[in-house]
Amino acid sequence: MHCLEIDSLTFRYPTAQSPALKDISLTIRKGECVALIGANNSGKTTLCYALSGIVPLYYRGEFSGSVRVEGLETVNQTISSLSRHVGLVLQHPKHQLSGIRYTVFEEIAFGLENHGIPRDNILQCVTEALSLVGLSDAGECSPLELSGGQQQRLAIAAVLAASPDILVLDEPTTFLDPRGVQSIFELLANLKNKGKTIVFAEQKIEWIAEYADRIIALAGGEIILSGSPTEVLTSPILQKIGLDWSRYTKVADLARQRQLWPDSLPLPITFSEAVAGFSAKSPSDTCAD
Amino acid sequence: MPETHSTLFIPGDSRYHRLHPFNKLAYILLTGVTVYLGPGKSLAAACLIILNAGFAVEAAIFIPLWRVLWRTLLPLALYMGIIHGFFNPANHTVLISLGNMSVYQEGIQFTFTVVLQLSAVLSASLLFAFCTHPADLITAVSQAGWPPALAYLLGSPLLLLPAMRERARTIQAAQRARGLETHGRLSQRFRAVFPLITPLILGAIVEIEQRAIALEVRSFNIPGKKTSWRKVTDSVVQGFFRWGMVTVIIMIVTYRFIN
Amino acid sequence: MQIRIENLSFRYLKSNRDNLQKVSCTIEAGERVALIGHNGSGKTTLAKHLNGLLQPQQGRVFIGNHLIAGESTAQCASKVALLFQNPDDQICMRRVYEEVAFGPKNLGHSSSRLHILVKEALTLFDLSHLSESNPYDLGYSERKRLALASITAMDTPILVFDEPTAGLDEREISLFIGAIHNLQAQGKSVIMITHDMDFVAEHIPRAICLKSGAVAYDGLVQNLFNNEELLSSCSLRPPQVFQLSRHLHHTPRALTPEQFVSTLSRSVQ
Repeated sequence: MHCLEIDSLTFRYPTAQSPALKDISLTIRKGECVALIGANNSGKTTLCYALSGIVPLYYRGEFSGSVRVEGLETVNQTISSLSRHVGLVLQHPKHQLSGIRYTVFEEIAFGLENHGIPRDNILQCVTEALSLVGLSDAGECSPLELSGGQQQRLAIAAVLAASPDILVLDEPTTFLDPRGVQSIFELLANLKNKGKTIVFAEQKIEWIAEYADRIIALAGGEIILSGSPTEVLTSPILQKIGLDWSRYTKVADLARQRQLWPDSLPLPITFSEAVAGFSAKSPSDTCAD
Repeated sequence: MPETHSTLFIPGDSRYHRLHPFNKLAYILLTGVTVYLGPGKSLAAACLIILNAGFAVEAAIFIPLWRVLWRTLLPLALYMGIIHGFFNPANHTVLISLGNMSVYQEGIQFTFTVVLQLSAVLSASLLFAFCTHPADLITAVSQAGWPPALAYLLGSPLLLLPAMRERARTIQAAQRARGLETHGRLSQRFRAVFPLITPLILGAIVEIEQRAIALEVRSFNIPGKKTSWRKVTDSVVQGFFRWGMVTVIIMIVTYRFIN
Repeated sequence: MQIRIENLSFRYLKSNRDNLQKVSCTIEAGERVALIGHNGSGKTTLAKHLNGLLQPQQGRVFIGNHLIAGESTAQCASKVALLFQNPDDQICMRRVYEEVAFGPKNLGHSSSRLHILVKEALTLFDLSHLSESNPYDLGYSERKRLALASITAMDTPILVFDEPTAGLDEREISLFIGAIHNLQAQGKSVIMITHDMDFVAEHIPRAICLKSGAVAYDGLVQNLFNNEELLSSCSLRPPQVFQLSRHLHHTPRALTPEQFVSTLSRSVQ
């Protein structure tokens, strides 16, 4: 079953000369984890906005085509009603804090309060959201004293509290240190196992390779590639649109040119695939387990 | 650790802490109206100061309150005492003669009254600031059904200002690293203002745009009844006192206009 | 121009420990050095001592043969340019061209020289076509490149970058790589604070690793990654190619894909 359906979407921001998205058609199945890749200004952020209704409900520009979230046409909804179906997480952890809540717990409760959820349910929802993102011990902390990675997980918890089945994240790891990046990807894997549908824009190819079910590459507001991680991440088109292969792919490609990578195997995109390929070809004494 | 908010709040569980924020606000207003517009100026102020001292002891904030109070008012008292003691136009009765200058009773009395009035209002305000968690004020405002924008206006500066201050410091460092002279001659410092202010404002605009989306996604602006996790306790008795204070305020103001 | 740091210690006002502890190191003209370590290890604090934003409480810092003490940052800026992480903390002009010219103008370059410096920096970061734009009409990564260009245009013998590649895409990172090679060819020293170990492995020969304000490692990047205990105590992960090469028991362990393949072909023969 498809929970996100985009049909011939074209969108131009009011002040822009050319459209940010051009004739995008795309469907995403329930429970899928889809990564959006592309150079800067390729349309990733705008696509994230379109999936969560920010475009065209907040940024009103020239909008044609349709976006349906769990069957609901976004144009006919409000951002608030869509937030029950799709949660949006932005790039900068600090900029998403409400600015008027003093504890992590209350920050998460904020959205529920606005929806008029009774107090008992708030307690349950917030407690669940806290444990889901691994912040159960930080409920009484000030949001401002958390690390970047924790703040980003707080932002995720804050949108999850409204229990949407779909989560859209716009480059959530750009401003995080390596530990923060890892914690976000582990959380995404965990949410995927819980059945959430996840769409995330990201630059870090090596992480995408490990975690995404499907990858969509954008350039100039259009979908250039769409397919399995291996199909997309080993495509030679990547370099033409301002991106690059992962190190594992590059290594194997160089090796293949010298007949040091088995022809029967596709180029690897992850550590384990690289290890498997090289072990197959290496002499037995250097073969690793 | 970076400072996380800029409030004066001192945690506690006293009766004064537990009062509804609006009662404490009404009390500040009542104090101001009484000492400035009501009858029996100094006496009323003195009574209120004693009352406030009692509240402060009960709330276990007497020492910090006293510290802020004298640090603010002592310099003012000295300054006004000198100016008015010697030069107040109403001066008539000599208290002390110092050569060809004299200190007069009227000037000193005037200073005393002003300082007393200020002490009463300031102590009531500090009681509010020390004993009210800003979150309770925000909650009270939204529970009262006032527009969310008002709660935001009241609440967000306390949390977002320290971050803003931190950013201002970073901007200054970044521009100095690009050779901008921020010290020295006045003309130099004047020229340095724009490179410091522009990034602060433009950065804030970028941030506000993102925050607006984040608030929108969390339904900040939807109409309809909101609930509140934080409980601000109110009671019939408190409501009675609150409206009582408002009534007295109106009476004093009316009395003042009639006379 | 040489940087020499001797026994530098520093503690922030509200801190309960030394944020820098007896740091000593020398960086020669034309070197490329990565300054690494986890958050709060003192990287930025150390960088701020190189241009007088912070003054040493103990120890000394020499730039060239000149001791910096009591000098204003604006005075140091002609020798050491420092780029902060967030481009929005410094962009203050209405046109891209003016923004890049801001630093060199402060340093008093002649107008003909200024024009050349700005043009070069704009070209280096592929911003020439945007020179008349308003910086705030640009996207985040374009603003980041603008900030990089603004610092490079100052034409200082020493450049310090704090997280220069964060938020850049691959094409933009390759522009930055071009820029640091260009700077090195002019005999300039580049110091970069970064978390990106893959970048360090491929483009930076020397690393200084800080841990709780003290130098935990100073030397060739290769040897740093070999020291697994040190790496994990500084919560750093070795670069991807290096991990692969370690897993396959290659010696020496490779830092770049090219090294990896040449070691591999040797071991097969």
